[in-house]
Amino acid sequence: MNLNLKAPISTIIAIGVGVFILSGYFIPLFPELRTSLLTTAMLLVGFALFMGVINLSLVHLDKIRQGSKTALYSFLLIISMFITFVTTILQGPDGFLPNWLFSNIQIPVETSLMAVLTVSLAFATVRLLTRRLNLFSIIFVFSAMLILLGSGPIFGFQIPFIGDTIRPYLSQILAGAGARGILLGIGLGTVATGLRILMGADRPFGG
Amino acid sequence: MADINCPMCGESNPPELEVCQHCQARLKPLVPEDNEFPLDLPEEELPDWLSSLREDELPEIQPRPDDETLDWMASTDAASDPTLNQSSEIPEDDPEWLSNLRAAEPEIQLPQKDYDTSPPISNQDQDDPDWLLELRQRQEQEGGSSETGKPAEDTGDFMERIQDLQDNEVEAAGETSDQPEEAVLASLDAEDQPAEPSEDTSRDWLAGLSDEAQDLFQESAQSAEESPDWLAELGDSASETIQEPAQPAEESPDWLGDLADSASETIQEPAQPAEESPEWLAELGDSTPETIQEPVQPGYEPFVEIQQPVAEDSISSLLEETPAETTEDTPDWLPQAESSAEKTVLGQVVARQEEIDALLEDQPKASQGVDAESPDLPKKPGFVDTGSLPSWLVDLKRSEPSIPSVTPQTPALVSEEDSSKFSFQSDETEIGLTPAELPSWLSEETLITEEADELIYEAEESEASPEITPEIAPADLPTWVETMRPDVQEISATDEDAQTGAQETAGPLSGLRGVLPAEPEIVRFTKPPLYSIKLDVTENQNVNAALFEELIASESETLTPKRQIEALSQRILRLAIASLLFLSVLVPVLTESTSVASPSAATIPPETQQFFSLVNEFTSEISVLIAFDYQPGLSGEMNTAAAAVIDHLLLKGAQIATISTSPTGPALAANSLATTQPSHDYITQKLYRNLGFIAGGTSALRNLADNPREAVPINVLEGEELRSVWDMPPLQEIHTLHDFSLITVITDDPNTARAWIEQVQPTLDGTPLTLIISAQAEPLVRPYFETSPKQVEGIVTGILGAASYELLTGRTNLARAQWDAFSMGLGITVIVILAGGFASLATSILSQRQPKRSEIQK
Repeated sequence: MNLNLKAPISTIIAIGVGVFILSGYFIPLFPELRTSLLTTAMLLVGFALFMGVINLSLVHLDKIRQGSKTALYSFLLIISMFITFVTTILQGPDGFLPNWLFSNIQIPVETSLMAVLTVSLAFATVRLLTRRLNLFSIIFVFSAMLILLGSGPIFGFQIPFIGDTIRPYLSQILAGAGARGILLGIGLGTVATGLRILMGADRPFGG
Repeated sequence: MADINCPMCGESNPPELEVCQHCQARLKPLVPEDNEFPLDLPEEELPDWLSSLREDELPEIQPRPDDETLDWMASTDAASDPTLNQSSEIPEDDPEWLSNLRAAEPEIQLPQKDYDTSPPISNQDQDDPDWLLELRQRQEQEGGSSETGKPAEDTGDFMERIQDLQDNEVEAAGETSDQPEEAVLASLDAEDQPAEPSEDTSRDWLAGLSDEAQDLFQESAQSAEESPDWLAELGDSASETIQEPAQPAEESPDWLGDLADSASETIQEPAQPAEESPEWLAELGDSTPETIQEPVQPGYEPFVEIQQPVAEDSISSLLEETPAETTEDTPDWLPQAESSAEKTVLGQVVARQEEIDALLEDQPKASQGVDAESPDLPKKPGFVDTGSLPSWLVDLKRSEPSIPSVTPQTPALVSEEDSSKFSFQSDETEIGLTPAELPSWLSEETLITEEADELIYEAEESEASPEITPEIAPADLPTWVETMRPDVQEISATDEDAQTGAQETAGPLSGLRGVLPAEPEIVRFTKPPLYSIKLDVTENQNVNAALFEELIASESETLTPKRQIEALSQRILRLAIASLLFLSVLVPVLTESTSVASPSAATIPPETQQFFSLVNEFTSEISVLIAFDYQPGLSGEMNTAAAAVIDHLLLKGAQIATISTSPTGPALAANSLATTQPSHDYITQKLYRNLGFIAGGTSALRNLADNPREAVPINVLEGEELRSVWDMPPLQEIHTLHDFSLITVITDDPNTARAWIEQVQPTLDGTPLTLIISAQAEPLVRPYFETSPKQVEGIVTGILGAASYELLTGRTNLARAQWDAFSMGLGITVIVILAGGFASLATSILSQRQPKRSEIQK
């Protein structure tokens, strides 16, 4: 006799833990139990991250074994990951070799990407009026220009009215109003998603 | 006498022949002529038009052979007379003008005698019926009397005599207005008695008509002498109208055109029953048969046996029975069909007459409706305004239509050339009367019944579309040939071949079944259709194909190089922009320029000012938890922004513990402290505690906020002993997060900042939470600073915030070192965007003005 108990059990566990943790915000009962559940969740997330690293290694090892066109990149990834993992295990996070690898490889690479992004955004702004000439494009470019002009001195000259009036108005009032609306939306969405999971309407854990 | 042209083959034949010597078709009509009028009037006594008609008609008028006269002729003749007798029943309350008109009608019919003249019948008397013999005898007698009775002056102006006749009759009408119509007509007959043999009792009324017509000529000639010149001209024009009935109305004066129209319409209208025709026409139509049939003689008693309502039907039945009176060429089957046809013809004719009556009943209604809707249209010829005309002219007008009424009595066999003279043209429609080989009196009635439908149809057509001309297709065959067509039903009932064979649809044998085909059926095969393999392409299709081919060719040719050119231009533009930006930033950094002034105190943001105040209030021995939650790519901005704050904290003697929710956080913390605070021994000696990375996102933050020691169970090898970091300074006194003096989060992600604010800040219990954020996260994080109570005690935003903070602390750091590069980079970026934006705007406008060219290039 085969009974599929996976779905009901997982659903009961998810809903029960969720209700218990939520109640802890309002009723300070069983703090140790709540802390244990949160610690278990952190361990599970850490283990999931570790499983992700293992899965990533297996995928790229499989690509190297199949000899695909991206095998070289997969090989470099595996090698870099192995070296970093080994050096960090041996010397710790504050070791010289791990810091050197991070400071001289990872940070410059990612910073370069951000620099390329800066150039791409400037080029996209230039091409925007050519690609899509409409009212919103013009408003977008004009707002970006005002923010840039008010963000600092332009060639050493601080534009008085834009720097102290226009830019704060745009970034703190107009953008702030929009940001609050976005935050309210995010909050309502989070509550709704949490309630659906607690009620079992959404079961991202399966079942 | 002139030769007779055969109606079938058109060849000329001697006049004495009855059958064409070329095609054996009958040349002479079968119907005997009951001509009672003299035929041998002197040519000089007749008008020109009558003479011309006589020359044309006399050779073709042939008596009907006596042996071809059948019994049905007697019944038909009898049926026709009662019909006329029926119409002769005149109500007693007839108006005066009608009496005048009736009195003038037989006189004006005088020219008809000339049409009806035919050679005397000589050698066929033994086969003719009695009544026909009597007719012939009377015709011979009248021929002699008329020769002597016609004075030479009677052939003068016709219209003048008509005028005199009108005057006389106006006077006579005044005398006889109180008498019944029958008495008036009887007086007319009495006047005719001397011209007729006393023993002739069959057609004496016709003789009276002929004498009356002669009197008309005489009186007209006399009146011509008395009338003024203009009236003589009128008479001439009237005679021309009579001679040329087909002349268009627009060539004559209006009033005369109306007269001519009325005359022609009177000729057409007799086909309508008197009781269903328009009023004016009914009156005219009633007058004519009345005056003709009034003197019914006892010699017609057998014919009177047939009832009057059946008379017109019997005339129509002649059309059905005409095949029976064909010549000796009559096939054998025809007598059989004749017998059965005689049985059924009466019912068929009655049914057909009912249809004709229905059509005639609708015709005046339709014409009245048209007149009501279009009052400007020309009126009917009979509706001449008589108020503006003299009385005699009105009477003339009323009597004028009866003049051409003799036309139906024209000889049956008429050549095509002559038939045009007997065609009458109404206002808009020309009607050709089909010649028939019937007696004149019968041809008139035959015309009535045979052409009734056609006249009605043509009248409707003329009202609807003035340009429609009637079809004259039946004129290809003479009527007597048409009448030879057998009754298909009767034939099919007796002949098996007729039942099974194919029916002929054209030619003289049309309607017959079982006729031998002109070619055997086996020959009637058709070749298989040939389909051309050549593609039939029109010029338009060729043009479209050429356009389509051009489109395909353009798609495969020029796209690639133009795309390369466009990509190359974009790449150059992108490289140019990048070069400008890199140079604008690189040059100040390499030159360590500090030419650009730092931001003024007035431009320091309040959140930065509050952050500074908060840190500045701390005394020694404070513990600060700094979270490094940003990406390595933004380490340049974040390290610069955090350098001034960490430097200020270190100056305040703070003990620092670092933590991160990002996997790269611990390394970033070590790198940032090492690179930005090299001047502090606390950093270089690594006295700070790196709590590393905590996994789990918001849950991990919540757990950290509730129980930091359990959330971060890290052991550090100190010497040879492995100890927990929570047992080492500065974390010895820390059990919860609110045990820290300050918590600072360095992040570029507003979501991370929001997670710290939502999960950690509520558990701090007064411990301030400050943020060092990127400029891009300011709009989403700033609202937490503006709340009350404040969820975030202070914020330092990007390089501008760091420069402001450095301005507050009075210590130059990375912000000041990068301030010139930052200023140059902003300036170049603004210039590039402005210049490129205007250039793009101009290009876009120009490209919109030439959209087709740009699309073709793409």
